[in-house]
Amino acid sequence: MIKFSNVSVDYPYSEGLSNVNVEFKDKEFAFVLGPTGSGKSTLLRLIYMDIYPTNGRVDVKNWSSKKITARKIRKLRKNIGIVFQDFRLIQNLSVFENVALPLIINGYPRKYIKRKVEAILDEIGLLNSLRQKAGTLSKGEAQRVGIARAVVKNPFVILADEPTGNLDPDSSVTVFNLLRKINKLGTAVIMATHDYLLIKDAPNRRILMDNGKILKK
Amino acid sequence: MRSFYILKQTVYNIWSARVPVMIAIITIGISLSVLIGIAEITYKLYSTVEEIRKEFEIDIFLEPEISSSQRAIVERKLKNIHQIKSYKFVSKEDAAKIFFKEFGENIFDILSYNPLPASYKIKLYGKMTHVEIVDNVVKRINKINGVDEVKYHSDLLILMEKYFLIIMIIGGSIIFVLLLAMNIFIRNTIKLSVYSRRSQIFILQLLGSGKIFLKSPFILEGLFEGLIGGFFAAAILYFFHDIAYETAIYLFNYNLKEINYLWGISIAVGGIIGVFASSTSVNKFVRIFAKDDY
Repeated sequence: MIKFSNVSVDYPYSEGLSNVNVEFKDKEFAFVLGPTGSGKSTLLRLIYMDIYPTNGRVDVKNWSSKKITARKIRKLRKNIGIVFQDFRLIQNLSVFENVALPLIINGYPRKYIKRKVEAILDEIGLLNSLRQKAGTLSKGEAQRVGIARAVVKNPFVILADEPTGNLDPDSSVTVFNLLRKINKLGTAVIMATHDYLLIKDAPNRRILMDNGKILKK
Repeated sequence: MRSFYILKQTVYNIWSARVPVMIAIITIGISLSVLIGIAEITYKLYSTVEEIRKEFEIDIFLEPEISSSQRAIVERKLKNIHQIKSYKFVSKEDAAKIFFKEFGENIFDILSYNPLPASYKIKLYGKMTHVEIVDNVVKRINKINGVDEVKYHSDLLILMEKYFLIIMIIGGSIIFVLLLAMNIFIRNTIKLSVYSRRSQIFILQLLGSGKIFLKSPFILEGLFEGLIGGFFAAAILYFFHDIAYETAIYLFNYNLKEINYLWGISIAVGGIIGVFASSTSVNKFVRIFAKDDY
């Protein structure tokens, strides 16, 4: 589903990635572990084509970093859910509107959007907050909304970049369990984290990174 | 749902930047009212000049003893000058009648003979009434046998062309500067909006948003500023209508009742400027704040 072939990324003042070869399978839950600056975020950004490899290629389903166009990037991103450490919600929009945004962009009808968003908000326990402005949510709630927004468009993969990095331990567990639940329903999840304690009992594959290199797949 | 979202974001953008938006609207309003006023005056002057050109005549006085065959030759040669639109023969008798009409006295009673020569009154095509062209035509006419004298108001033509050119240059320059000022104000407010929404633009991109969806709220914001500015300009024009009416009658003998249609022009011009300025601005700044792949 996602394949990195001899991928290197050069940043002006540091090395982003160095000759990375790794593959992610359909419906897999994988952790990308490593300290800050190890290349975890770079790896994820390459998947949603926010950056391109300096060398090598990244293949995501039928899209390749070698020949992707701006139009195709938009299409790719419509099929990928992204969860950020800092949530990246639109503060002036309500919880409902934030979650509905990917569906609005895709031009779904109002009734469908309402049904779908309410179902997901119910699932994550925020149905009662649907009119609340995103800017007024707690961090834990904001991240749950971020996950809901990522999952609402039925992506084939969710890329979670330090999703628990800004959360307290209880909220971290809630968010982590939510991602596991989503994965059990058939969506692949690639989660970059350095919270080893949180995932220590999880049976999933761990990809260990340091200094832009993969130490263990 | 998309339209609703775009409209909501437009309203939010306008409300968030309400002070710059208001300044832009006031600037557009004042600039547009001055611009339309100047454009109107310039247009009126242009119409007046064109009217004068249409009525411009050259008098060709024939030699006193000209025979009818000689006159036929003069007439044929006049026909060959392609700048001439029409000509009218005024006989000695007709000239005497005109004299009587204009001065109320019979020329025969004053002098006991008619010294007034036969003449032709010719009109040129509108575009041919520029000083240089007229001078050339006059030179050609002067060479025709049987022509005694050619008279025309060259001073009027020179004056008209000189001042009309000055007014056109000044008017055009003011209009250009005002258009530029409006453009800059709209662009600045849109730039502020795009800048304050840069993280939102990034998020929308990551969600797979297309260009139209991304840009629409900003272009609508520009349209709003332009339309309200245009409406404000129309209100200013209406408010000063009485003063303008008196001034126009006094200066140009021009009835400004026709100003009613300026409402529409003002709002339409405002809207067009708004969309133009915001589109160019949003194209530039969204590209700066967005990622390369945009």
